[in-house]
Formats: sequence, C-alpha cells, structure tokens
Amino acid sequence: MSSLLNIARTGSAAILLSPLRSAVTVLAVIAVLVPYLVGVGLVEGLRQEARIAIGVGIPAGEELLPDLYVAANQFGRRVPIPVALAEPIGNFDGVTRVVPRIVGRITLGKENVEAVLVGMPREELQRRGSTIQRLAQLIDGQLPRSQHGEGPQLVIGSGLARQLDLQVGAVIPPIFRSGGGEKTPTITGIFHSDISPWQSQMILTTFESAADIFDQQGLATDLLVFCRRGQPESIRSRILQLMPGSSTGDATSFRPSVTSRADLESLLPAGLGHREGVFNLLFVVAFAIGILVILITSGFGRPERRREIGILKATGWQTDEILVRSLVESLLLGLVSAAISILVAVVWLKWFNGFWIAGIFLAGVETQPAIAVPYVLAAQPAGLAVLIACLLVTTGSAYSTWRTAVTPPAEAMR
Amino acid sequence: MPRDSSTRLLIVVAILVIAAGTAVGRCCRPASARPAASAGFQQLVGGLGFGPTVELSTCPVQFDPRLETTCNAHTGAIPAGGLLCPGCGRFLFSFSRGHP
Repeated sequence: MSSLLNIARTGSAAILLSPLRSAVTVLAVIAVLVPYLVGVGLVEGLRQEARIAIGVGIPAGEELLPDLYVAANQFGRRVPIPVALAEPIGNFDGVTRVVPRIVGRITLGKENVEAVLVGMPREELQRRGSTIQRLAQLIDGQLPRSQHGEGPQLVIGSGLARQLDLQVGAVIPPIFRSGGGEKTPTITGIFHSDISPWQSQMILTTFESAADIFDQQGLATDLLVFCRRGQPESIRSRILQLMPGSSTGDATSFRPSVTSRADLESLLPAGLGHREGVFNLLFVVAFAIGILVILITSGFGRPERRREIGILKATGWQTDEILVRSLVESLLLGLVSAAISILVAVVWLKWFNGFWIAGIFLAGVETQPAIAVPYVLAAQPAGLAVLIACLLVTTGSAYSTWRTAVTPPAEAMR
Repeated sequence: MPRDSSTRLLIVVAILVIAAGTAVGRCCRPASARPAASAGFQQLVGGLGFGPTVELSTCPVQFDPRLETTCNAHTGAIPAGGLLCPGCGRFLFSFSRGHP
C-alpha cells in the first residue's frame, strides 16, 4: 500500500517536471468547461426566474398572480381579445377578478431601441402598488397614473434607461400619433436592475395609455383571470364554452385559448431543457475535441515524455506502475482544471455580471448587461464538470502513456 | 519545516478544490432578496417573461409563450423547421413545440 502511495506521489511530481505541458492541458480544459458552466448557470438562473414569473408554489386564491390567461387566436396566431369579454367572465361563479392587459412591441429613439410596452389598468396598478411590500425596492420613482387622453406616464426598464440615457422626470418625444393627437410621455419611474431580467426592455404604463399608444381602444392582448381556490379548471371549461368559436361563421370570430399556471409549469422541464439538450450536445462535441487536443499535448511528438517513461522503465518500473503514476497526474490536473473553471465561472457571473457571455445566451441583453444576470451554479453541474475534466485529461493521456510504457526502454529513450 | 515541491502542489490543489466547493455552496441558490423582488415585479405586470430573450423583436414566443402560440418562422412539416427562425436559432435553449 505504501509503495502504491509512493508511486501516486510521484504523479504530482510529474506535473512539475513538464510545467508547460501541464499548463497547456489545464488551459485546454478550462477553455471548454468555463462556457459550459456559465451556460448551465444561466439556464438554471433563468429557470428560477421563470418559476417566479408563473407563480410556482403560490396556491390559487391568493390573488398574487393570475390563475388563467385568456387570449384569442385566428389562423393559429394570437390576435387581440375584446375587453368587453371581461364582464361575462367576471360573472362566473368562482372568478374573483378579471384584468385586461396589453403587451406590445414598440421602438424608441433614433436608434429604434426595442421595447416591450405593458399596459395594466390604473386601478390595478394602484392596488398592486399598495399591497406590494417595499415598492421602492422595485421602482426608483412612482407607478404610472395617466388616464385616457393624457400624456402617458411610463415606468421603464433599466436597460432602456441606460440605452436612451433617461432619468426619472424626463420626457421623451411622442411615440405615437392617435386620433387624440400627439402626447408627450413622461418617465415616472425606472425599474431596478436586479429584480428580473425581463424588466430590462419593458415599459409599464396604464392600460388606458397603452391603448392610446397603439390606438386600439376596447382591445387587450389577454385577460388575466383570478379564481378562488380549486376553481381554475372548471372556470377554464366554462370560458372555452362561452367564447365564440369557429362555428359561428362570424368574420370577427376567434378561437379561444386559456392558459393555466399548470400549463406553463409543464413547459419548464420540457421547455428550457429542450434546447439545453442541444446546448449539452454542442459541448459533447467540444469535449471530444478537447480529448484530441490533450492527446496531442500529452504524448504524441513529445520526446521528453517518451524519454521520461523510458528512463522509468529502464530503472525497473513496471507498466502498471507507470500507468498509476500517469493516472494520478491526470486526476490532479483534472481537479485543478475543474476547480479553476468553477472559480472563473463564478467570478464571471457574479463579479463581472456575465460581461459579454450573457448577451450570447440571452437575446436582447447588451455586452455589458444592464440587468443583474440571473444565475444558479448548482452542485450537480459542478460535480459533472469535475468528472468531465478528470475524464478528459485521463482519456487524453492514458493511451499515449500506455503506448510508450509498452515500448522497449532503449527505443523510448532514443 | 521545508516542504518539497510536490507537497506544495498538493496543498495548492486542495486549496483550489475547497475554494471551488465554497463558491458552489454560495451560488447554488439565488441571492435571498432577489426572489422577493422578482415576485413583486411579476405581481405588478401580471406575470410576464419566461424565456431566454428580453424583447419581442426576435421571437415573441421565446419571450413568453403566453403572448404567441408558436414561433413565427416555424415551418410545420419541415424537420427542425423551428431552427430556421433567426431568433430561435441563436438561442442555446428555448421552448419545445408543445406549448399551450
């Protein structure tokens, strides 16, 4: 046992015998592992944010988030839904509230900066503003209160504020021209950068102002339905029966779509994991290339390495002892590579806020993100990184070591 | 007591592994204040935002599947047709087709 430990100890010494080779091996593994860890960290961070966005864990009846989202479809595409439908849906037994919402795409400024305009009813915003604890932690400023026909009051995302260099109290050029003429929007608040990634390009205003901006009165993107506990499924069925379908023959008819929180929750594992599978597939290819790189750096064409093994054989070392020595060397290099990769990934995500790389994984995020990039680096991917690093280095060097170890010493030292 | 270079290397490896383990321990869950603030924001906008994009120009369904039924570039029967979307194609993760 002690002889085995002594052999293993020479494995750590072997790392220092060829420092350049060891450094290149560690760097090759880090180059593959760091983007993998950062990507997995962002996926998991976004998954956590998505869980909050759909209210996972919030029981029905709490009235914190809607239980059902009612929308309209025509030819398989979403179309606006009449706000008038809120009243009959609100009369259903078990429905506590129905809130119309507008969500639309607009561009701002000379650079046509993309923004997501969200309109919520004025009363709903004031109601939410009074119930959300520590509103000041969400918004720097005030919630919008503008009414129909008034200049819109806007709360803008941190990304927009930085791109357009806007402060609270600033006015921006009219972004619409409706029947009521031009109205100058005022910035009443800016979302804090660390609350959610999706606030970055968002503009929150009142439903009335959003309808003015898009010049589409009486229509909404969707109706948010709040239900009593245990009621959502039965209300969903009743809504589908109530809303006009294709059988009416009316040119304005649409097919209803009711999305529950359970539907959205079911998307999470299959959804984010779907392309995450492609992401993992890409890295399987990267790891395969990494093995080839390490194979080249660790043995082939390296006469020093061959001479070193030849000398060991000439001084009485057995092939299995040389392989144990090489295995310990590889495992130590793998451990070092994985540990450095994890530390670099954490520093990149936490201290550098995913500089540059967040823009690759999240569309619409700038090189220097204006949001606090969400990330969770769980133990499972970190453990996988250690395993992959050790496998990469071991697989890359084992074959060349074995080939040299079974070669006669005189030939190996030549 | 002087140590040989291989012992020093082992100490460095141990320090690196402990540091990495500590970093993972601290980063395995979001910062405590963030979920509360994020929940407050979602209550304000009625639940909005779900996927790996922060705006609607690339592909609305990737911003939030509540807003659109399918990717605009989805080509139905063509295998992997969804990958033809200039938006979806550049995402490394997104939703499957089985959304509501």
